[in-house]
Amino acid sequence: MKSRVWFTAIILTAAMALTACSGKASDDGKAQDVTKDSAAGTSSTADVNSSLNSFDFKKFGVSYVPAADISKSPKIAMDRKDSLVVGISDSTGIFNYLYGDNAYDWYALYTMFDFNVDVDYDGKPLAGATDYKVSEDGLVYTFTLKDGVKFWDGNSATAKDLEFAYYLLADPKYDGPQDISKAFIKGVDAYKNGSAESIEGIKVLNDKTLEITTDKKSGAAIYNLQIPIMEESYYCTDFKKGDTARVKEKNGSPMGTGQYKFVEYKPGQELKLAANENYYKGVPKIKNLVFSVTPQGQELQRVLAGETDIDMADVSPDNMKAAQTAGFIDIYRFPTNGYGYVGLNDDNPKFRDVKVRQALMYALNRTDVVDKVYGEYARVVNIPESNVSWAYDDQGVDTYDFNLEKAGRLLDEAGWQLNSDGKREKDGKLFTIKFSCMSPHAVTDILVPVMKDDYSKLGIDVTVENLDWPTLYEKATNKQLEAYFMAAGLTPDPDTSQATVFKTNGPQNYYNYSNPEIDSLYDQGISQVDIESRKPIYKKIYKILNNDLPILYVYQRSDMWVSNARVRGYEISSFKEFFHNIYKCEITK
Amino acid sequence: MTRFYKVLALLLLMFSVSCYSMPFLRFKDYAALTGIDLITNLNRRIELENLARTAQIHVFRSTSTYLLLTLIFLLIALGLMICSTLKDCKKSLDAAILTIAAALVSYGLQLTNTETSVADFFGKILLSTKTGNGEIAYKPSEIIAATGIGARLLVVLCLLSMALIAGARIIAAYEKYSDSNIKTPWSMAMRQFVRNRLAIIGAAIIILLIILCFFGPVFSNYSLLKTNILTAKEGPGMEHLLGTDGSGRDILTRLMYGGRISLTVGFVVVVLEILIGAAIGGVAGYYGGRLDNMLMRVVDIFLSLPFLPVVIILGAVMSDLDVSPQRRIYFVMLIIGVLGWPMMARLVRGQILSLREQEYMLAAEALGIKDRHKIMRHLIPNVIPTIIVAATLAVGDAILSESALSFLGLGVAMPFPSWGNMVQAVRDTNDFMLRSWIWIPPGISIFITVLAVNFVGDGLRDAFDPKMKR
Amino acid sequence: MWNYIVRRILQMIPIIIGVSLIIFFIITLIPGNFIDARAQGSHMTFEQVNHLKELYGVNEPIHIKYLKWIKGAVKFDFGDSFTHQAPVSKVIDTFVWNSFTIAAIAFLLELLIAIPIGIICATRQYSKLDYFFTIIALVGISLPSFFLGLILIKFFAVDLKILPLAGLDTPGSNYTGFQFLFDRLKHVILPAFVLAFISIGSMMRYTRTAVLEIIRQDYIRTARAKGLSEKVVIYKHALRNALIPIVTLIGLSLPALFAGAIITESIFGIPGIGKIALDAVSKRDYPLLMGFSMFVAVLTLAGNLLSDILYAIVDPRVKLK
Repeated sequence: MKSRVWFTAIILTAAMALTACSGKASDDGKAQDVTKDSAAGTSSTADVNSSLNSFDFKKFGVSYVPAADISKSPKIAMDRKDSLVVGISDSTGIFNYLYGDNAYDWYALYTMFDFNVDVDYDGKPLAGATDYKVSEDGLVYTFTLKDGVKFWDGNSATAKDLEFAYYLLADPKYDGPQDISKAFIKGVDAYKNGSAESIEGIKVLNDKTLEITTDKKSGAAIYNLQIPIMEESYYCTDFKKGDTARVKEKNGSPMGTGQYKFVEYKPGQELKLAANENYYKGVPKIKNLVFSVTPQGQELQRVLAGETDIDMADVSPDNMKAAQTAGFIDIYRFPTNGYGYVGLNDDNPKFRDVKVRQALMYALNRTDVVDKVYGEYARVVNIPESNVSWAYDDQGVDTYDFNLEKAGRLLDEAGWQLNSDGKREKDGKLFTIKFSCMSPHAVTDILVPVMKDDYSKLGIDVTVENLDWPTLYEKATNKQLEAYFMAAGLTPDPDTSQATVFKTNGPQNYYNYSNPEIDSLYDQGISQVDIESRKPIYKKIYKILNNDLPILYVYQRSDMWVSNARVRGYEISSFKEFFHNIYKCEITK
Repeated sequence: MTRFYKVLALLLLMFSVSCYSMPFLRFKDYAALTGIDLITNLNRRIELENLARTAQIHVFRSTSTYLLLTLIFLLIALGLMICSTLKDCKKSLDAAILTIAAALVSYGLQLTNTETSVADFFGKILLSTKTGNGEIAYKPSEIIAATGIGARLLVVLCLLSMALIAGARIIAAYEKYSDSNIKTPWSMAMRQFVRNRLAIIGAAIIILLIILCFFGPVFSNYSLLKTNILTAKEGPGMEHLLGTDGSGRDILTRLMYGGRISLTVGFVVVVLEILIGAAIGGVAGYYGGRLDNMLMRVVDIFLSLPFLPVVIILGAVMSDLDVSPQRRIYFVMLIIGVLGWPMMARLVRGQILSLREQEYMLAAEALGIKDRHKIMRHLIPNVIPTIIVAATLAVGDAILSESALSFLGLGVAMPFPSWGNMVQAVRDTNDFMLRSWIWIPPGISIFITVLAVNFVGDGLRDAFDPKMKR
Repeated sequence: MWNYIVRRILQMIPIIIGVSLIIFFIITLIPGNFIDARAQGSHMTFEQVNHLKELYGVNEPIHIKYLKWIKGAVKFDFGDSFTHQAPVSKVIDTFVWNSFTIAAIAFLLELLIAIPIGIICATRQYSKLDYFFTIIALVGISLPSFFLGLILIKFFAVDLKILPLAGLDTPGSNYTGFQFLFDRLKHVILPAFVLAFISIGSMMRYTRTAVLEIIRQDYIRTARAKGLSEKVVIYKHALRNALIPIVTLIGLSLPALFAGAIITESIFGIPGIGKIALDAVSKRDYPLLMGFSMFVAVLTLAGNLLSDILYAIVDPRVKLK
């Protein structure tokens, strides 16, 4: 279950790191629910307080199932007249966006801080607390702070505060998880690794305006330039090179401009926030916001018990049923921006032959596994792309329906013959697979036994090795594993997250996959600006990836937020958490 | 009386040998295979006889050497029993018990082969097909197989006859005991122990668990690893007595295999602890001085290691050492054993220190008895009771440690079951709340096993402690 | 006496060094490191990853790492926790008190239940009551804590819904004073009970044995022979001496009070030091792991010393030398 944290982390960062977003994620009519959307007809439509949920969920691929009977909400929740309690799985108490690397702390940080650039519900960049302009040549970015952006202590945010954040990120002693080098700001390298006392590319034009010059034109730069508005005079007056320790001291006591003000933190337990009366977009409608640490797996239970108001629960038929029977739960469900896969080392003599990989795919009963784990709340994928993306096109791709005989034939053709013991053998070597995965894990706990069983019918012995997350990740990225299960994150643009994965020697190509045709197609894809002309290129790419199977794609699931219906007004999509606009939420009952 | 037992046991043994002519394996649509078939066709393929004569050709390859061994042991036991009934010789009675036990052990070993299907207890079923060039190739087959009546009867009859012979032996020993007036400390302890009702219940439970865990699988129609997601998470019922788990595996079957692991861990860990602990403690206590001082500091270091954190860290290390899931359990044993020995060492050292002060040791010294003799004849027998008691209680601790480690996902790895990792199913909250059959039985099994061990340990402590005499 | 304490503390030093060496060594054996684990989520460039590894000292050889650690440890500086970005000592201080609350309640429960029952069992050895409590004691020893905890949650929180599922306080509550205490009690009662129940057995047995030993002494026989009533014999003469070995248990309980309960805390979702330590393993937070392990080791040693000192204080016959 640990995977969830990490998976969320991937998703969050993926959303942060999107590049070249000329793409429209879902507003071109291609938006579709990730599943067959069975629950739709029942209670999902009209009669709800339409004023509150004016957000167009459908447009962003979100399936919203409102509660049937709010009056069933437990007393303990109804007694909370002026607070909203959000369940989170973990909290480390680092309330500094530039230092924290816990996805759940980020939820709180989104409510406490404003950013110069935001991400919209469809994944496109959006002006945040600043209005930004990009020069014609795409090298100079000008950020102008909006009026009324004030810190909790009453001071107005200035361009100096923006500058401070960039200098902190570029500091040689900065040891947080952000990486400013990807924004290509002029002079960062000289500052960080050289003796320069200032960064050439960062200029304060006036009290409200900051200008950033970059070395290189990059569609992703605007996302990588995203920073929170932090008050310099609070964190570290006269920040000098190497002064990071002073900033870190304030990690536990943040000062931002955001919707909610920091009040109190009980380590590992809960975080209390209060509405920021001076918030520039409007006063939050709910007075108190509480983040309460919930043990993994108990998310739904605590919402059902009224202990928390909203939490992200594992999506499963069981949880869905429990939430719906309770009556007072609103369910927000949308396709997870990523997919689960079986990674293979394509350079391994065993897997080098495409036929072998195809055989393994045919022998993997993906439909049954996915159905057992997620029911209708996930779908089997045959190409590495989310079905809410504009680049998604699965026409004419092979669906690799479970077929042991075909798999056997393919193995025969690839030269892996059955020996007298009924095992596959080629050149005197037996076909065995060492499979690494995390356990306990909702998917692998079912996938692995099924795979082991079916592959043994093919004459392939699978031995399983259970690793914990850091070990699995390290070994996978170092290409030390033969076969393993992992999940990958996706971005709205098909190039950002995928080109690095499938291009020869791409930094995230842990599979040693190499196909010159794919390389050149990806280069073609990024050089085009118009979506319509890009579409056929990606269609080709996915057709090839579907045939080549560098990895065995398994499923794309949904994310599910379960909420006590007494609070409404959440705005949510695959690409944006509702925390960014939580000030709009309201207690209805 | 004893004679009646013996004759009965003899008859049962004969029956169990004759089990070999009964079906050991049953196949759907095919004729059954007997034990003799399995033995005579060792490492040879036999074509299965098709009843309907329409299905594809299946062949069977027996790999059951253990079954042959079992038969040999049984025949020897039979001979010994005949001998003993004719001549009333106690030695041959003891030997018979041992050989039957050996037969059962080799039969039990047969049952450890658990890869895919029930048939794999005894061999492999293959589907024979003609390849393109006319050769015959073999594929693993999906034919449904189950253990036959013969295989099951064999276990029951062997166990019964062993129980009968043991009964005869105990009666004989008891007669001898009540005849003579000599009471050794051992027989006194034994008497004390037998009078402790809890201890007897505990011992009975342990014996029952051993039998169930090691021979139970032969009565199950499901194999350990065979998954069937169509029947996943089914509640207890006639098909699956205790229901199925998340991958559709029979929980009762997994419980039995998990029990093997827990029991093995318990015993192996304790043997390790005794080997290391008693040796080091004994040396330290006997030789004393600087050596003692040094060894005791080492013991102190190990005693100050925080047990659970260190075990958890080692569990994480283990996952990197390319330890296959089957073999991980040995590392778990090693870890728990290595961290557990210092207690034993302290205990033994303390006991030896106090024994050295006893008058009879002084006397031994004065008489100039050899070191080896002093240790073997005078020290060790006096330390053994302490070790036995401590070891029994340590078995319980070891089982608990293993289950905790497996519960945290750092012990025995899936898909191989241990009671601890079966309880892990609770991480799925819905299973925890709605499907308690998945996680409660393994938890109760741990509890009952450890409780039984502790009953016995407690009884032994009272039995060996002269002060506790009633 | 002071001499003795100083000498004992000096003797601890090599032991502590030995323990730190062993723990440090096995911690460095764990594969994976904090930076690589973090890099996954944030799509860092290779340069940034290497830069961070340098800053965190991930790639240094073991002996350098150890020397650095011990150099700091002498000055009570155990480094900064990676995940909490704060000094290890501060992290431990933050979380240890939640653990202590529960452990202290459990310990009190244990003393209040185990000692009286142990005495009763000893005075009525082999009675039905003795049997009954012996069984209860053994049941406690034999129950896996995770299983007992789960069963209790299932029964009280899931089925009966009278106790909360997890945590220390009701989230979003602003209770003060008595209300706060009551709320806290509702949350800690189950974990405290689990901790108490699994250890009551051994303390009960310990008390029983101690009292039995005393009862067999000659002076008790004399007291009885004098015709003193059984009450006076037991409670005035026997009990005082029997309690001496029990006092030492208090010293030995020191680690249990402060070291947290890894499994129980994880199951009940209590932000205690045990749960933090378990998280530190999965996040490869070596400084915290190391600091915590040493903290427990030192507590164990201090507990042993404390129990010896207590023994000497309570029992004038024991001379510390």
